[in-house]
Amino acid sequence: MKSTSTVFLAAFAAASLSWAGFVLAPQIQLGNLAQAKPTGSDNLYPSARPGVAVQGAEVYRSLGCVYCHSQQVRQEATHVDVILNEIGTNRTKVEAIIADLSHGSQKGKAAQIGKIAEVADVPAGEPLVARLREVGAKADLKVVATGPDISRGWGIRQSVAQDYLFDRPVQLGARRNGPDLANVGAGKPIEWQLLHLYQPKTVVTDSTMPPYPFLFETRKIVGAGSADALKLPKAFEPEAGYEVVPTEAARALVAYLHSLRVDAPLYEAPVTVAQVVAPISTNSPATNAPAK
Amino acid sequence: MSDESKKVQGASEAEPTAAFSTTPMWLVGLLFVLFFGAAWGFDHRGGWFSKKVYPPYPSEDVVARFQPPAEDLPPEYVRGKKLYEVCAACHQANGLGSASVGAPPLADSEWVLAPGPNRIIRIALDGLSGPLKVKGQQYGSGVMTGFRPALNDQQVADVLTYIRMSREWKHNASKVTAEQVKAVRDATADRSSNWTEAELLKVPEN
Repeated sequence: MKSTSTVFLAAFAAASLSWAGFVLAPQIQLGNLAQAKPTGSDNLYPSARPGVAVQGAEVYRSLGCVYCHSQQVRQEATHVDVILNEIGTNRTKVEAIIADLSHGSQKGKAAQIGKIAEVADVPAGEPLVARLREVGAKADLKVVATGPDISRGWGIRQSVAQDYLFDRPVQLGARRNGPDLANVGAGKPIEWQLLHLYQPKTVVTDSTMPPYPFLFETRKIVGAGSADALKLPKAFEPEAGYEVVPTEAARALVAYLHSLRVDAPLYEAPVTVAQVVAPISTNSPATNAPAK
Repeated sequence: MSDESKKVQGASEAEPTAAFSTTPMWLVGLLFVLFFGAAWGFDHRGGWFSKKVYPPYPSEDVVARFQPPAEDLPPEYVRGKKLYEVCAACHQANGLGSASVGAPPLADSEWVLAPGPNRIIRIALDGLSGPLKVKGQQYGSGVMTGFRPALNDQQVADVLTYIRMSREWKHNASKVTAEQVKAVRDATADRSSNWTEAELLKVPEN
């Protein structure tokens, strides 16, 4: 062959360039990720999963949950809300500042506790907070992430590499036949998860998820019956004298689901975390349809 | 193909040939410039490969502009928090204490959250020998050493300010000043043994 060395060099260059781009560059960028302290906290994040949840990750993997559920919350934008916490004694001055903020549209309206303005970023909001403090009111800035995933209630901020630090393998998922599970641990109680695995239609009427009855044991009630037996609705009850109890696999899977959280405020994914966690509704959408 | 169409073709066009011709250099240059520009723009939007930048944030500066404002913590609180790392060996970082070494909790403790710091200044200076009752629970014969020689007035005030005001434990008691510590240190200068619960309860809270 006439140009062996040229062909060899060209092939070598093509292979090494793609290796540099797909392996070396990500390794340099993210290879040294370690646990870090979330904003305003002293605990390291993410915390390692408990052993039973690690087993649950294997159950999740073996059942192929990843083919219908993603684990990645996307975010489209971020803004900052100015929240009025305390009006103080000088109500007229506070109202004047709010009227000024809203370019007159709030003129003459009574000042109320709550969101009074939306600004582009934190430095834009700080002078407002300072002005309100000068007249005796108290205001806070709240960093809010927005996007379709977030308005569906799937998370409060986007997922970043830090969130997957302890995942082996990372089960990102590419399809969303079901909801995103990145932050599912912030949601439903264990009993709900078990019912949902046994028969999704018991808790979400129009669910398209297949039931996983083989993760449960239907057995004869002995004595008073098991304390762990599922409290199934009438239509799904096993025949009289039998009860449905979760197996170890079901427990591990639920423990894993409970360990899925992406709501720590990280530097690279800033968000203000509410002090009080709102009670979770059991009636969330099972599909991609936006929450009503 | 019919004879007729062959004739028409042959008459109007020359037979195409496959000759060697070099790629024009301007095209190579243009592709290079386009590729370079695209890569530059891509990196620029991604914050130059920074691991702190994820879309929708275009750069580190923008991410920095969304960081929540730092809490206004008094300097004595910040210094005290650092000093508390020593206390955390027994009382734990979460302030819940450690039963195995007999250290009672500081979080929510009525001793820490008393109206005045008189008693806890004494404990910090000269230590305490159990038993001790905290939050209605009896703690055994644990012994805490005094820090009279180890910490100066300001340091004692800092660490006590931290445990009385700790945000993590949702405490909101008053600050402890170096003057208060100095007053107690001078008043108890001749003390050579640890405090006991009975002795401390005789000291007024304020």
